[in-house]
Amino acid sequence: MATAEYKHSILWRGEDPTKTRFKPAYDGSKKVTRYRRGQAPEWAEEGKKVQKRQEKPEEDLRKAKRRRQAAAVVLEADSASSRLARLQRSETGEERKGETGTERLLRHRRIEEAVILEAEPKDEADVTEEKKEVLKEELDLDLKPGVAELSFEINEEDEDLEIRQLRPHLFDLLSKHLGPPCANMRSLYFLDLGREKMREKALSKRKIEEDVLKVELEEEQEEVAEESEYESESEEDDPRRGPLMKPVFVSKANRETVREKEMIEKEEEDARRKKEVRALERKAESKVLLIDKIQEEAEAERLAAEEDDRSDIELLDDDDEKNEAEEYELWKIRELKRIKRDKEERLQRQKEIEFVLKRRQMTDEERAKDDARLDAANPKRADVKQFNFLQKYYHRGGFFQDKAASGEEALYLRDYHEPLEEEKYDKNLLPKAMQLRRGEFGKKGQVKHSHLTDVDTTDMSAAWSQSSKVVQRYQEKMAAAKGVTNFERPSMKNRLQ
Amino acid sequence: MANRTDPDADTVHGANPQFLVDRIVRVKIYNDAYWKEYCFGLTTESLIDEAARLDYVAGTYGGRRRPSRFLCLFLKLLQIQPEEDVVMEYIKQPELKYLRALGCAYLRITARYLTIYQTLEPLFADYRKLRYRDMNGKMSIIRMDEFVDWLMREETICDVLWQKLL
Repeated sequence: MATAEYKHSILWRGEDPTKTRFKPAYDGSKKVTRYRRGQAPEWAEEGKKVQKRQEKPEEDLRKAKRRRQAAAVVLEADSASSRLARLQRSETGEERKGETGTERLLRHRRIEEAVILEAEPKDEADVTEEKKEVLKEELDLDLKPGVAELSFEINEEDEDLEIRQLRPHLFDLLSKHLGPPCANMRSLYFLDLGREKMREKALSKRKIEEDVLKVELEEEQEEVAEESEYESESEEDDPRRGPLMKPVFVSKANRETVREKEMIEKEEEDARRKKEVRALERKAESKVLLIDKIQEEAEAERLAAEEDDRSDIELLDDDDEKNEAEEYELWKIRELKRIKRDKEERLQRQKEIEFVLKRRQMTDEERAKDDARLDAANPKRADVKQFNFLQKYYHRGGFFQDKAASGEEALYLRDYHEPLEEEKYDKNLLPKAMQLRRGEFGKKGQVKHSHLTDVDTTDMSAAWSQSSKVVQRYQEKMAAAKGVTNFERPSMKNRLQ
Repeated sequence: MANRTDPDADTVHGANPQFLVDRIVRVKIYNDAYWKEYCFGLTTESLIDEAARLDYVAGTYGGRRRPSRFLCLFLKLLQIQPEEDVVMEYIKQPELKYLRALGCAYLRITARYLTIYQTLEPLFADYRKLRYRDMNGKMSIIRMDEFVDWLMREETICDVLWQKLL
């Protein structure tokens, strides 16, 4: 068997890979656990399959390792994860059984408050108080029970009662641990007090700022606000602020605001009146315009209808009544011309016919003579000039040759084969590459072909191409070759000879 | 439909009379507003009225070769093909010179040579003025006898090719 398919044949080239089925290398020692969606992982059924796990300690180890790794990832220092961890721990409540309240409190997150520095120097207590106020206002802290992150407010001496009522256990704790001497420290750590007082103080501060701004605005623009508002505001601020504007009574006539109002009203009225007037004017104008437009359109329509776009030209006068005599004269002239023309045409025709008849009757000699005469009468184009070596031939073109013949167009009377300066020059002195016609060298139209005899491959050394005596005699002697160069007609004279 | 020649009409020089005018010029005439509006359903009588309103003799003129009214009526004549005596009447009447010119042109293109010579030659005596508009649109004055002379001699007048007379 010598086919390629046979394994042991000489033509065997190996197995066809497309024909064989792929068999993967299977390692039976390793067990791969497959996972399907929704499948409970093996470790979830720990309790049930303890035996199985015991049987396969390697797996157990691996799983534990993985879990630990996963746990390690969680222990990062960001808030979310720690929070989650905390929550989890709180849920389970494992390690916190023996914890005291303070410990728990200490566990809680402490907010470090920002300290705002003020320009005016004040007492330290005031400073801290004000800071607290400001902070309190800005942060807008309300006591929200139950959230672990908020800091707890501990009241100072005078407000102890409140807090003691609200959060007695807190109060106890703090006083026990920190003690009264740490009032300042406390205040540093925790915000204090009665909300009302704080709020009042903050509000007053705000009012001060607003008033300052208002004064500035007043300076920039004229005050437009009504006095009542101002007064009310000043009433409000009076008990709070120090420097105040003493309200002075201004009579109505002197009040600027009233005056300004009146002026504005007057202006508005004027404007309104003017507008009305202008509207009336415009109406009238538009009416006029409309009339004009309509008229124009009507005109245009009329024109268009009439002319139909054909008389965009002035019609010349074709009245026949005018200049009758002149007209008659002109007509006469025309008529005579026409008659003359007709006559001439007839004559011409006649002549032609006559000439044709006459020529038919002529003998050869006469015809020759006639030809000579005619040639003399109509000279052919100027004799063919003898061209220089590689002189350019200029074709005069096929159009307008009637004009050329008649001599109307002076352009065609020129001799275009007069050689140029560069053509009078002997080109054999030039290198072979430059022996080209005028306008060829160096240009796209340059070709190797120069003249026909250049490519003539006649073998001049051949016997028949030479005009030696031998060849001549041969040509004369040979019967067939005798009359090769003889173009004379056999005439009676020769024959008789 | 309106542009078809009457099937009862005779052929002129062996062809559809309307085809005596070149196709391009003919189509231009068909698309012309004057043709569509005024030349529709024209009879030999109403044609007289239209011819009375003619202003000038012209073929096509202008950059886009607009056909003149003269040419439109000329084509209309070819379409309706009036009888010879009607055409003779057109030519004989002395009042409307443009109608006369129209008649001459129609005769020249349709009639036999003998008729043409016999009819048109006496018209050399008529030296009335006609307005003529050339290809460029320029107006000029020609005389009736000149016009007839052209008809007899020229190859192309008014954008219509005339056959050479013998």
